[in-house]
Amino acid sequence: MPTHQLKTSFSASSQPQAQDQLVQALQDRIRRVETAKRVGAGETISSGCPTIDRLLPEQGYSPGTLVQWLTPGGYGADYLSLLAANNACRTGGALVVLDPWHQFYPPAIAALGFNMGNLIVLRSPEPRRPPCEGSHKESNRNDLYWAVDQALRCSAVGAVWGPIGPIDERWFRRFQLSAESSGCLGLFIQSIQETRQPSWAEVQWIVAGATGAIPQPPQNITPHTHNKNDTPKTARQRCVRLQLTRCRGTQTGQSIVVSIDAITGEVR
Amino acid sequence: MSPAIIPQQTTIQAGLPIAASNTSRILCVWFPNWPIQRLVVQQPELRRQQVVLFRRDSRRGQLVSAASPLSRQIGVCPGMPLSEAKSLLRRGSNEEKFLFEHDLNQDTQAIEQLCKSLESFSPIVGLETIDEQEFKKGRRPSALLLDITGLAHLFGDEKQLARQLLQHLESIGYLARAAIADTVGAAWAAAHFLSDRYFHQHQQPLVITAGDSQQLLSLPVEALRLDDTIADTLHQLGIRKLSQLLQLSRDDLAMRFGSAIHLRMDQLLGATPEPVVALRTPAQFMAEQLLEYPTRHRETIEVIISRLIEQLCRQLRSQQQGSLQWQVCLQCSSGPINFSVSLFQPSTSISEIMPLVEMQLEIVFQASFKSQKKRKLVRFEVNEICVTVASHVLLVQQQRDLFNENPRLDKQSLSHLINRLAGRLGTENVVYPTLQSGAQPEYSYRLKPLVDARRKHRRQPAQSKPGSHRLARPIRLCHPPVPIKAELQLTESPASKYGSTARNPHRPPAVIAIGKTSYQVEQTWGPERIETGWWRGPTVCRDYWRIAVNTGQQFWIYRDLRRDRWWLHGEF
Repeated sequence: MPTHQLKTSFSASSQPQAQDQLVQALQDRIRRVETAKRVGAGETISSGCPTIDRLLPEQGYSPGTLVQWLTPGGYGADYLSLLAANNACRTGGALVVLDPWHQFYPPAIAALGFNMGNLIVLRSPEPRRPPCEGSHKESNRNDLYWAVDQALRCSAVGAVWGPIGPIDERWFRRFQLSAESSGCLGLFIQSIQETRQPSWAEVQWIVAGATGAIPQPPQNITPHTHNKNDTPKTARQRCVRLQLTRCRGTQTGQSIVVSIDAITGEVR
Repeated sequence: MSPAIIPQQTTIQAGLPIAASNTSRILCVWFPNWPIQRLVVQQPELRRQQVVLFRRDSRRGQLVSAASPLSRQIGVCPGMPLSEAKSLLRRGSNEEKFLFEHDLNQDTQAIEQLCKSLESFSPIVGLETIDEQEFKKGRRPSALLLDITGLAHLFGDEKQLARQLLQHLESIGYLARAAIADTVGAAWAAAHFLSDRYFHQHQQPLVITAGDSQQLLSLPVEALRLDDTIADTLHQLGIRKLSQLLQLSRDDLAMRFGSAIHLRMDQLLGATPEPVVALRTPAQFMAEQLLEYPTRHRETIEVIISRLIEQLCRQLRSQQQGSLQWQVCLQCSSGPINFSVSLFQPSTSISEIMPLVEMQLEIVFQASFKSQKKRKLVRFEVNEICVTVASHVLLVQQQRDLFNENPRLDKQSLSHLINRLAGRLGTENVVYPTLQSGAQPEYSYRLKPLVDARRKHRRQPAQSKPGSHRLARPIRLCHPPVPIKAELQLTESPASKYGSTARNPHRPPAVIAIGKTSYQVEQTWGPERIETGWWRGPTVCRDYWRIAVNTGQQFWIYRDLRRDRWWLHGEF
């Protein structure tokens, strides 16, 4: 990196705004150096919602990124993550759906306009059991993780999406390397209890209800609360809060409230 | 004791010639009361019990379709309403009664498995053919046909062959009746209508000598495998035996009944050929290697399999065929070890097939390594290796796009991935969805294996149109639905039929409890009533509600109108 140029530019701009720009430029440069060897470097995959994109350093996900969605369930994390998966598969790649607990409901995907002919569903070999911690045998869990790793490594797969139980750190690292080698987007939906577990995901979201203390949303976004006293403008809108708890190249801990139209699926 | 020897005769009373020169010999094995036999073999605890199988008829309700001998003794018979059978069973005795819904697919699967297991007696083993009309009525094959032409001397004679076959079936729990004749029709008729009486008298399977049909003339007209309506009409006309039928003019019969009777009669007498359709045709591509010295060495086994596959791949390529499924059999001192490898797309590439075979070998060998230190040696000794192409289709070569650099469109890479996944997880766990027309969420889709050797057509790309209501259904359903406690809303109208303070069951709940957590329901959408067709079994009637609770979560719940209980079916 040419250090003399940086020094010059830093000394030339003494105002705080200029410092921020400089820091941002340096962050961008570091990120470009780190992701230069990835497949599809320089490209971005939209999350499906401009508001969410604005929070991400490259206005979207880089190919080969692992994204973790931590949620207690019922807050629309499935849908929000699928939007990104759909965008990742626009170039013709297959969408691999993980279905470890045999819960996947294809008609819902069809209603969203997904290409059903490009869908591969991976089910756990174990007989059906309710999803709870440690419900899978070790061998079956390893089989499923092996399958996820293989799918992430395949260049013909656009995205790997689905709910998954606790992931061993070594498996997570493998997933990351596989995704980087192929440019495949990995979107894992996990229980909120996984928040404190070590993670190799580049981006981590916590999805929760937009009740209580709502953080200040970014510019041009009007938050909708779901309190009785302050119902959304239309009954079909629902609001959820997304907290960015992990993301390289941007400030973590930022929150955003998005509204999802229950009819059209539009996210704002 | 000798088998039934009937004097040779070239003509029958009506003067119709019999094809005496027909040299084929057919063995028919009939399993009386097959559904019950199959069930008893699968569940041995049902042996000597009162077992009744029932089916659902669209007009007549639940009917008995099969009954065990003990149930028949107290008057239960097929075709009887189930309620009547239940009352007979209750009056009958204090023994435990077993009532099951008749699974026709299980019947077919079981007899197909049995059919494959009898290939040691004949290379051509097939099922009896069932007319489409009969099939729709719920009839399934209960007899097997073996082409034993020129094979009898391997077992001594025909009588010995049939006896060994019956002994084999008895050893695995089946009671069968067998008969050998010149034609499929004659063997079928003899097995169904002569063999039982003959077996009780002589304790021997029935063998009708070549060119002889005299004994068959005394059989009832049902022995011609005729449709029930034709048989009933013949009975009404007073024609009960084949000999009576043969005395009638062919033209008159054809005018009244069409060609069905003549066809069956000619098939019985051999005037019209009727080959045995083998369930599994002999493999066209097969290679095997006998080892002079049995080996435990894993690498040696892999190298031999690799050579055999390479040899078969060359043969496939020369005939422009691509393999879809491979079967490998390792003959060991302790018995054969079989495994198969299926492919997503037809292939003749050893580099594509061999890794999949190695993956299966790994699973086979995993349990058989002598110790962790000696992972190169397996526990069993292999003395013969046989590789077969179980399924193959015409190989269509496609030139790759020269300027297409998009890696996402690399179908070859995707095909390899699917093969690997199916090899490790099993073909039934690597699936694709197809949508079905059904209101009940559980029946509105079907998952089909991506790797299916029987699938001759490629999966068609299906771009679904976005629905008008994109988020009408949750992306994941609770399987099975989770029972929840629901506190109903109070009725608002004093004029309501439920009273001013009553809780209206047709309204959504005000509070729900999922497990130990209670939620206040703040907003609801619905109800959406879903009812299923009678053909799916017990009628399902549900009122679905989409609810938003105080935490901001949205759930998809329903009330079972038949049982008046609430269930959680999904989360939005």
